[in-house]
Amino acid sequence: MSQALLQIENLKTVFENTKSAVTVVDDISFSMNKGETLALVGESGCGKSMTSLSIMGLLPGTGKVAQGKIMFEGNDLTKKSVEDISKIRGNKIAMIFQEPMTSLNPVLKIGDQMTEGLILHHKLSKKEAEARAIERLKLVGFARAKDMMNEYPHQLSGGMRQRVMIAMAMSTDPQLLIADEPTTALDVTIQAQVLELMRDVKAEFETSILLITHDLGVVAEMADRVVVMYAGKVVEEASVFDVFEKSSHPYTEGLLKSVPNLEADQTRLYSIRGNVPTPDEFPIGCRFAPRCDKAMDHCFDHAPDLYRVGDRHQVRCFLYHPEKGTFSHE
Amino acid sequence: MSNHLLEVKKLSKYFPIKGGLFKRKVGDVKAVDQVSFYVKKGETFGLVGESGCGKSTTGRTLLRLMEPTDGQILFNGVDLATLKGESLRKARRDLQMVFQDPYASLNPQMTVEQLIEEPLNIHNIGEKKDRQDRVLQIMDTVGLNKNFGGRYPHEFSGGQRQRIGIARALALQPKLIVADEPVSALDVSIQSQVVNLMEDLQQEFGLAYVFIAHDLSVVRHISDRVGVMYLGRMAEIAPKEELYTKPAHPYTQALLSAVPIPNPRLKRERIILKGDVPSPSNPPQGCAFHPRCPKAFDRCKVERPEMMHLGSEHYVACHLYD
Ligand SMILES: Nc1ncnc2c1ncn2[C@@H]1O[C@H](COP(=O)(O)OP(=O)(O)OP(=O)(O)O)[C@@H](O)[C@H]1O
Ligand SMILES: Nc1ncnc2c1ncn2[C@@H]1O[C@H](COP(=O)(O)OP(=O)(O)O)[C@@H](O)[C@H]1O
Ligand code: SF4
Ligand code: SF4
Ligand SMILES: [Mg+2]
Ligand SMILES: [Mg+2]
Repeated sequence: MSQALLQIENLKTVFENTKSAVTVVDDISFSMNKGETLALVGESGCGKSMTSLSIMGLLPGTGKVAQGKIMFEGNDLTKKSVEDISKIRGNKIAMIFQEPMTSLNPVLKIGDQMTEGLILHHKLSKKEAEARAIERLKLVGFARAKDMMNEYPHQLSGGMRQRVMIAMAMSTDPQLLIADEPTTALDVTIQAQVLELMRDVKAEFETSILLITHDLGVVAEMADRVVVMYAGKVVEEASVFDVFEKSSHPYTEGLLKSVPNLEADQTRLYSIRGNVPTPDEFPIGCRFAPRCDKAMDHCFDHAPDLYRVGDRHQVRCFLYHPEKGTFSHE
Repeated sequence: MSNHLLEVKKLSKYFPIKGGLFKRKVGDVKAVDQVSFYVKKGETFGLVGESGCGKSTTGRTLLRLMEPTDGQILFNGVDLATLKGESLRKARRDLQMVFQDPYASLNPQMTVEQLIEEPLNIHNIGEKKDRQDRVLQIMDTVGLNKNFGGRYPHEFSGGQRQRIGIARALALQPKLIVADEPVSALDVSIQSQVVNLMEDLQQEFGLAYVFIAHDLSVVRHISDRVGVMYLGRMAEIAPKEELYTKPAHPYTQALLSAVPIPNPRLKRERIILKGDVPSPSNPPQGCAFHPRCPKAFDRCKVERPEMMHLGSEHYVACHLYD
């Protein structure tokens, strides 16, 4: 365990108001090694972004971490002061978001945005900071990096902005890059450019990447390991090969079967019946039970734990319970 | 030609760019630029291409939700582009649209029943009682719980809202539905439900679809033939099997190679295109794709390629095939 860069233990994130509390991330655990790309996948609202914002200490509104540890390089981030967290962020941990405009300041020139943190946190001189910024803009493929320093975000296309975000995130040589749907808003040809860039950056700097996405193609292409989330819970954790070849959770299986194939024709698409539940209506028992073709009576009033099915492969489903036989025919 | 339900000929839609002190017209956004294709009865024509290439504008112009700048839209032999008043209103019954964002396209103040009945009211179809029966029947057809007719759109999930949108489009028993990114906003597991529903409805009612999407896998699944647009122009049209296995246009080749495939063992040759899609207000001379095309040659910079016939129903606009 000593080589884990990031280790999340039993993380629980809640939004509380005077009337009620909803748990949007419920008892999540996973770990990432140095240089590893871990994909967090699942459908909208399952808690992917809230998991990453919990790590970054950037939860919106009344959101807070109610329980659990976020161990980064041996320190528990949940115990850190606001100042310490903001130092780690934009330094050792960097984040890129789905919509780059939300994290780029529209009234600041690209150059000023890129050098600000370097001057403030890294104590670089203005000149050094500019040189670093230009170098990183070149790294992400901008031939005219120098001119771009004087441009504003609105002068760039979506793909260009996302590349600027990556350049900015990489300017501090972070150990961990959290990328929340970094290519979801981009066209496929631009997505291909950005994914290639992320792979290059990882190879060059040994950055670990926490990649949040709902696109299983992107997962297959980028990830070493995969964590599948459903309704605020981790339902499966495995290597990328095990997820695609030995997926064990009925939800993971269903998800993989639902995706139409680019390379072959199918007569009919598989579909998981019913709807994705929202946090105020998460079922008791197994949260997937109302949609699961393999559900047993037991599943509707008991919540499964994560059971080990292979090397670093865990599944939250009673089908893999060591004593499954004792309740499957209740 | 008789089995061509819809035949679009050199359709163009330009938006004026206004500028300067007197807001005079200073140029055009050529959102759709001389696009031609046809749709046969009961088939699905997929329309793909990157953001801003003119897919939605094409779709909306077909239905005369936008006025075409030029070209013909022959529907059952009648040119919709020139119809006016009552005859346009009548013709429109046969063409309906389903939108990407089911929430934005549904009036939040109307119940589901009212929403589905509205098109019937507009076209004065049947007695009140008949209309109500029809609404219940359609709700059943698209898989909406009939007891929820009194509810409002916000009380439904994304996938169910899209079912409401489809129900509205079906109310008038159209022959053609233009579906603009109908599943793009939906989760994977819900997306396949809606795709299956659309296929079932096509079978049952002999509908033809123009299915607009940027997800090439979904388009492969649902389409019979596919058109690829780039910067307001049609780059290639082919039966889907042919397009996906033997793409002819360099842009189609790059587009297909860029799609990530959900198989971690697969290592594909990828054509990485340089740069971004140029703005349609100032498209490149000659072939619009030439600044990004890995196979461009001198002629491409000066001469716009015409659509060429490659055999069967395969068409391509590229000088390589001349
Ligand atoms: N009302 C308008 N006025 C001016 N320009 C417009 C208008 N509507 C669309 N355009 C422009 O026309 C071009 C084509 O737009 P369109 O919405 O058809 O693209 P699209 O292919 O549907 O893209 P997307 O995949 O993003 O939906 C774009 O450059 C767009 O900015
Ligand atoms: N500011 C907020 N207040 C209350 N609930 C929120 C807030 N932001 C997100 N949520 C809820 O948290 C859940 C998980 O959201 P999120 O992590 O963004 O999902 P995703 O997996 O799509 O990234 C969702 O149900 C969402 O509605
Ligand atoms: S625990 Fe039961 S309901 Fe849940 S996924 Fe497994 S079989 Fe299905
Ligand atoms: S005409 Fe020329 S630039 Fe255009 S796609 Fe063909 S080879 Fe490329
Ligand atoms: Mg999210
Ligand atoms: Mg569109």
